[in-house]
Order: sequence, then structure tokens, then C-alpha cells
Amino acid sequence: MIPRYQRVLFWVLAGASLLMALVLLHGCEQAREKLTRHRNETPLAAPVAAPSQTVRLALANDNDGSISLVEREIALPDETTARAHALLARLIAEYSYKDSAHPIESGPAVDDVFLLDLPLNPPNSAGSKTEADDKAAAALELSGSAEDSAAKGTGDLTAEPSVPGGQLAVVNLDGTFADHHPSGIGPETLTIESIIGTLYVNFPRIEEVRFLVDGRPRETLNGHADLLRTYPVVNTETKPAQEAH
Amino acid sequence: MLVAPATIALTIAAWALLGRAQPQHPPNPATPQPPAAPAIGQMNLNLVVLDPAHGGPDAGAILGSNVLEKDITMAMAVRLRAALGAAGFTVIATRDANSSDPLTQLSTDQRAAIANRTHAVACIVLHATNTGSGVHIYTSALSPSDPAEEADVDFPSPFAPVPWESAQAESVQQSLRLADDMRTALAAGNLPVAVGKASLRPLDNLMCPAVAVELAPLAATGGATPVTDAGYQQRVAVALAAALQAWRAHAVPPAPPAQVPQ
Repeated sequence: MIPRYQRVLFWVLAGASLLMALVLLHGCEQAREKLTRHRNETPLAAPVAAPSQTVRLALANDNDGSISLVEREIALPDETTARAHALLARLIAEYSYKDSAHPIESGPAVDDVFLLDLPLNPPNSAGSKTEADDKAAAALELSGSAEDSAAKGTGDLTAEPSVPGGQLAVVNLDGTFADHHPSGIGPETLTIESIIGTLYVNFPRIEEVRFLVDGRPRETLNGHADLLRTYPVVNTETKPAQEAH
Repeated sequence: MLVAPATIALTIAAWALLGRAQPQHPPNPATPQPPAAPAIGQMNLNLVVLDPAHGGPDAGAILGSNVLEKDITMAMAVRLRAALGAAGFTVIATRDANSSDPLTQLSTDQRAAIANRTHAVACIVLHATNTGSGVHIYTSALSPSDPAEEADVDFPSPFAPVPWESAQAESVQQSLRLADDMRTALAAGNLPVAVGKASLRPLDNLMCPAVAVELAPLAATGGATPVTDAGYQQRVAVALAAALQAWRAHAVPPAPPAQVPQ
């Protein structure tokens, strides 16, 4: 004969098990609905199969201070801005390899790339002239022609492009990348020249480049290379620096 | 890191608004507009400006445990100042006290303004690094200004405004010759030397023949000599002083032709 207290305990435990099973099923159902709802709210873009293509990267070498062009087979998006962003991200990633001649810590380096048509006009240029416009025009006359200023690398953003359709690239670097970049005139200059050289050989419309760090102007990359000036996008491929012993 | 697109848009709009006026004015309103670059004959041939880079809260690169770039540049400046003094130069340094008080520290624009007022025969910006070997000499990456273009300007040369951001452009050719003298002197002292170009503040804002000298460890078969080595620093200082003596001899303006008695 089974004691009464054991029968009561059995039914209590059986009821508790059933209750827990129901709660578990309900929780699973809620979680599934939540995931389904989120998936519906954030539709993903259809993946596009981008074929691999040959690009050229201007790679820096700390040992001899040179920039050399190398070819890589990588898949890039078609949209120009995304393409420039992906290319520069790949360039910096090359420097995080173990045997890199210009070692840089791995991690996100380029947050955004923006391409702006030259010449850059003030937002109110289409409207009536303001006093600021007159002052700017007078200042431009004092400093010579826009082309002269551009040729001297003075950072005149209103300079006419040398070819129709010229663009200014604004490269927004990651703050962590800048803070952890090897400090020194040589390594910082080589990184800047590497970016400029890569833009030059892959984007013929880009004529000038400016740099931001975390979306803001910053005086130097990490204490040395000037990030406030506008750099002309030119061929930076160089021979090894002159050395004497 | 996510950045508000509005911040970037505002920055770009600010560039567009200020782009025309920027080259005309120095970034710091307190910095005076520099005069036109002096010709060699207007220079003070016995005056050298030293700029030990960084200082105060700006430590520069960390070159090892408890070794900061600002300390190395200061030590090099002290040695170079002594060597130049022995060679008959008067030296003006943009940083004498290596205190952490930010009030005593000058910005790069203020350092350039000091140098530009002196009409020195040479301006030397001192740096240090752990990358590479030997001594690295950099001149400005700005394109040299074309005298033919300047002749077309409405203003006569002494009164022509000089863009602050590219003030060094008019002295780039002299700076290249100064760098060549330094390369020769350092090589004569058996010191490895590399010469290059860089966009660097205050180098681009200087109106004197100017170079940046970056001290790197001295590679050797028995192990690298660190930049903290006093003997290594002294060798470099002596070689640079010899180079500046040679440069001073080159920079002496040619004597006027003697008049032949009729």
C-alpha cells in the first residue's frame, strides 16, 4: 500500500512538471515571434555577387621609406564610395599581417569615405551674395588664382578641378587607429602617402584628399603627420629613400 | 565608432565656407601675418632656431619604458645648442623648460611665428622615433614656389602676402641644400642617414631654410644603440653643428664685385 503522502507528492511533482513544460513552450513561442518580428523589420539587402578584380595598392615599407605598387585580386562593390572605403580598409588590413614591412595594429581603420565634386561651393552660393562671399572673393584675389593655390597645396577647397568632374575625397579615420598608429614622422607620412597613392591609381577622378578622425579635424595622425592640410592626390610611388653610411 | 553624419556634414560645410580665406590667414588669430621670406642676404647668418618637438602634456612617441620623445628632443636640443655655441652660432630655442605646465607650452603655430621673426639662417625641428635606423632628415613636401609666377602678382615681392599653410614653399630649395649638407656631414661621421619629405607642422609654416631631424636607434651588429645613448646623441649633435657651419659658409651672400679704378 502506497502511503498517502507519497501519492500527494507524486501528483504535485507531475503537475509542476506539466506547468514548467507549458511555461517553456510559451517562452519558446514568444522568442520565435520576437525574432520573426525583428527579421521582418530589418530587411537585408539582396546579396550581390561581386566578381574578383585586380586592384593596385600602394604599400609602404618602413625599412627603406619607399612606396611600391602591388596587385591584389579582391571583390569590391560597384558603388564608388563603398568601393573606396573597401579598398582603403583592405590596404590598412595588409599592414596588420605578421610579415608587414609597415606594421600597424589590426582593427577598424577607415570609418567612412566621402567623395565630393570640386569645386566645393558654400551652401548659399546659389543664392544672393553675402558679405562673407565678398570677403572670400577678395581674399582669393589677394592670394592669386585658385589654380595657383591648388598647385601649391595650400588647401584651397574652392579650387577648380584640373579636369571636369574632379573630386575631393574625405577619409574619416577611426580614432583608435590614429591613437595606436606607430608614432614618428616616417611611419605616419608613409601611411598618408600609401592612402593617397592607392586612391591615385584606382580613382582617377579624385584630385584632393582631406582627413578626419572620428568625424572631426585633427592636427596630426599621431603627433607628426599633418592632417589639417588638403593633400593633392598624386602618384606617391617612390624609390627607396637616399641612404648614406 | 559611429559618427553622427551631421557632424561630418558641418565640418565639410565649414571647409567650404572658410576654404577661400584659409590660406590668407594663420590659423591662430594671435599669430602675426608673416612677412615675405627673406633672401639669403637678409638672414642673420649666425642665428639658428631649434625646435625640440612636443613638450609639456604632449609627450610625443613613447620610445620605451619611461622614455618619452619630448625628453629625447630636449636632450638633443641641449647638446646641439652647446655644439652650435662653440661654433659661434647664437641659438634660439622654442622650448627651454620641459615642464608639464600647459601655460608654458607653445603651439606649433606659435613656434613657427617665433622662428619667422628671427630671420635665422636655419631652423631645425628635432624629433625622435623607434622606427628605422640612424638619422632621418625631412624637408617640407610642399612644392617650391616659382619665382616666375610670383612676378605676375600685383603686389611687389616684399609686400606679397605669404600663405601661412605653405610659408615654407619659398624656402624649399634652400632647405633641400641644407638637408644635403647635413646628409654629407652625418655620413662623414659614419652615421646612417636617410633623407625624405614630409608634411609636418611647424615645418610647413617656417620661412627660413628648415629641416626636421629625427633621431632613430643606431643599428649595429652587436645590438642597436638606443636614442637615449648620450654618446650617440653627441655624435649627431657634433655632425649637425659641422653641417650648419658648412651651410653658413654657403649661405654667405656673394661679395659685390670690386670696382676697377678708371
